[in-house]
Amino acid sequence: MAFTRTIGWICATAAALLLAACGGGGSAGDIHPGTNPPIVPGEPNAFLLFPNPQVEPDGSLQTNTPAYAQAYYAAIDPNNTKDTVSKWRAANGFDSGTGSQVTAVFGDSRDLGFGRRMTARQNTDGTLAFYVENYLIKTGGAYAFSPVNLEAAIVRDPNALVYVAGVEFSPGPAGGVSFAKYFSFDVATGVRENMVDIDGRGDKAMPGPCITCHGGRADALTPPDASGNPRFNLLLNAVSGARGDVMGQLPPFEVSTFQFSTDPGYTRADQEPLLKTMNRWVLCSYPLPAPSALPEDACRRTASVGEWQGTAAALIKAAYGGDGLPNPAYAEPAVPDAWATAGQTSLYQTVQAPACRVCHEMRGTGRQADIDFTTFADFQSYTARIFATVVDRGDMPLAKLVYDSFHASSGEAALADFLVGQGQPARDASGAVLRPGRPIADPGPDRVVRQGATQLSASNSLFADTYAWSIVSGPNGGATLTNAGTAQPTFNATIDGTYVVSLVANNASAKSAPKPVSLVVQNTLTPAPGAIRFADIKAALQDGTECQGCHNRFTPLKAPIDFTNYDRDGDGAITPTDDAWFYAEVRSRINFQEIVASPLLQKPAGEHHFGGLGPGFDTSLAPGQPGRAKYDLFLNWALNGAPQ
Amino acid sequence: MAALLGLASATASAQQAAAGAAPAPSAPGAARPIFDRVQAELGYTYDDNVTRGRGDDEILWDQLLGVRVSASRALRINDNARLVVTGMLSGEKFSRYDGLSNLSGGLDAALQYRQSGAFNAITFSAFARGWLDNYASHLRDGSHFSFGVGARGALTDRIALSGELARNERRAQSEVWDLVDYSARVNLDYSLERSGTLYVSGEYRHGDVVSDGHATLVNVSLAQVFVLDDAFPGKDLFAYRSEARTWVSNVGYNLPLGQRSALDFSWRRVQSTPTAQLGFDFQGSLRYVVNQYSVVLLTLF
Repeated sequence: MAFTRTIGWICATAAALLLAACGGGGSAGDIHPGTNPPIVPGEPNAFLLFPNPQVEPDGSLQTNTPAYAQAYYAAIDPNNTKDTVSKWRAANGFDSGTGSQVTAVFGDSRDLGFGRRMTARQNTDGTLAFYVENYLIKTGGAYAFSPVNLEAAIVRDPNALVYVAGVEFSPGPAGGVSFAKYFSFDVATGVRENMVDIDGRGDKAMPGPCITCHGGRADALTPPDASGNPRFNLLLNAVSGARGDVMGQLPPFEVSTFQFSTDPGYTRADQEPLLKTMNRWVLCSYPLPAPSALPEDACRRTASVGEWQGTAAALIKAAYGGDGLPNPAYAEPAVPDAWATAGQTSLYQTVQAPACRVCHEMRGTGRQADIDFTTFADFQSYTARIFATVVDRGDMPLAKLVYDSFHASSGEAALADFLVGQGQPARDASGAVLRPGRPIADPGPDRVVRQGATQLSASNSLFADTYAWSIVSGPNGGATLTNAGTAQPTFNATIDGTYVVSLVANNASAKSAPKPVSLVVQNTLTPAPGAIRFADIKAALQDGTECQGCHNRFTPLKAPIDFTNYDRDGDGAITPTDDAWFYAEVRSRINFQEIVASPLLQKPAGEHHFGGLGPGFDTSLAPGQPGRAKYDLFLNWALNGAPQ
Repeated sequence: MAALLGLASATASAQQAAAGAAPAPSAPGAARPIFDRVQAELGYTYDDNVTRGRGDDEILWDQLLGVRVSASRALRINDNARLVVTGMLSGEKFSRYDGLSNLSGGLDAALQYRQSGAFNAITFSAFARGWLDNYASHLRDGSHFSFGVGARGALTDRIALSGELARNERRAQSEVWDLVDYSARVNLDYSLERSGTLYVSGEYRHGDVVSDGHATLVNVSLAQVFVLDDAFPGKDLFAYRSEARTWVSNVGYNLPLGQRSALDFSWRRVQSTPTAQLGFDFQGSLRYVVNQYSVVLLTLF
């Protein structure tokens, strides 16, 4: 009996002890240093990528491949004289005792969240270089700036050094006019990197993460050189004439958005003169659109009409008190008159300045500057694109930190109100602001097709994985849909006429509004959509002088692309290689992620195009009308994958 | 507070029996009571660093009242071995930072072996202890579990020596208080006969500790995981878990108050130094130091 009781006590004790050993599992507020912020499936995640990332036939994004970075570095450093950070620093004269050199330490609390230790120098020949150590304590929680990142930059904590960048403003390998070049180096080895992860959301190919915001372009690579490697594109409106000049710029240091330490030597008062020196040097890199006798402009070269006009110079000057930069400290400039007089002060202060300006002010050319948003009219002219990129796609603002800040700020509602006022449905029926991440159906643009089978595609839809197509209207019994529950159904028409097909896109939690697309069936359409090849497109581009009159390298208009046949590879003859090159350049102007946003379609249709509306591109007409025949041709070529 | 940081009990006097610690024998033929021994403690403790903070601006003090009741029963296995099961309930009420206030309940099971009844025979033991903890700070809620071995013996008729090796584990709602450490403790009692007992103990722990502090580079760099601490509202303090070497020393005096009560005075000092190295120069101290001063009334029933 006693033994039994003893066993009972032992069992009860063991059970109680086991129970006590239970528990744990972690709380939602737990933060693990060293881990990246989680990427939530289904949320927008196109940060630091170009809106047109050059989708390849295999679905890869060419601007985000190692090959793109390799071609870039091969263009700006063909002999690998700057393939390590030490070589790059030596080439740019760091710590050489020549020129001028300053170091500032600050927190980039608005854009990338880093604590930054930036050493800038101006060499005696006027070239500039910026060596940037970026410190980030990865906390695995929300991606945001933390003062500890600034602390890490001050003490140069090697465990928090996540990204080393080098930016120089210097001539290309063949000399000539200086332009900005962007390098990234491995923090441990110092070796130049092709891919870099600067926001914890995966590797991205250089120079994309830099130039998406610094004004650079994302044109496709062109055919291989003698070594068999694809070449970086050549922009004909770049004054340098250098391959690898992406027309990126050096953005101003917006000191009022930085955070500073209270430690002696690192306070804002300590850093202001250093940052002003850097801003002066940055200003020197900006082309000058009109003659100036001001001393701060003496170092600036004259701008070409085909390039960026140094728009951000106005911001730097205003921030330091105007011409002559009289004020010692940076102050956020007053709202520009072009916004204030339009009654849009609030929109500027809550949307444009914190979420758009830093990148958009780096963009535009002397011929077509509206994308710089320096005026409310510019901003307003992009209403449809702003709605598409901010409300639907979520690829703007293009840095994760700015994106999060924007959607947590009053700017989100302010922009929604602006968009609603412009006729865009930025709020739902209950008045709530729409955010990216909900399913968006995109059946593609209205088009003209022939009778027979036409494959439709929902691939430009967003945040969706299942689809439902239906024929809404059209000639009775004139068409059928097969595989209507898939992303790529087949529309089969036997009678000419206009059909309306609707697409609803779904994900696990929501269903999109139905999106209609008009399919105009004309069996006399020539060429048939599936038969369109680059030769047809080239013929249209070279039809008269409408396109090639401006788009050739001899005009003073300085368009970025030449639509004439010429010896592109410089081998002394116009060969099929040149044609392949030409094809790559034209295909580069198709955005396969959002066909209707392709410059190849938008520009001649008169959207943000110095040349205005081209004949045959009138999209106010229905598909199949002669006045938009070229648009239909280009569109059907793009929808078919732009075959060569 | 002991539960807060996974350290030894703040009231080390619990190791000391009240005067006349031997349980009263049962009368022959009488039914044996369920418990051989029931002890109650009521104590006051002043803690000069309840946050286990390193920097001056991270150190907060508090005082607490503690109540503890334990009841044990010895189960004979054979002439040399027995199983002693002790149930415990305790509570601590903090004055300034109520998030640290807690209720705990648990069991201690010790298998004891003594080769003979000789005066100098050593008692060896293997033990397992478990508690369930409920804090005003939700993040700390969870459980403790320890197991280990110990030994106790008399060196002279006045001096007793004991030691213990243990593995201690804690689970909580927040991973910050998911702690594991290994400890080695030595305790020396010196009897003053009717005047009471002086005791001193030293303990070394290697493993996880929790320290509260601001969101500084040093704290984050040392931490394995951290969380905004809900026990110090408005203080903007985070609780950081890190691995450390910890020394705990305890000095006390147990004053008998009659046959079944005693008053215990103790000073406990904890010093913990992180094992992780910083990658940068730092001029301050990385260790934290805690001093706890306690007065506890113990009574046997």
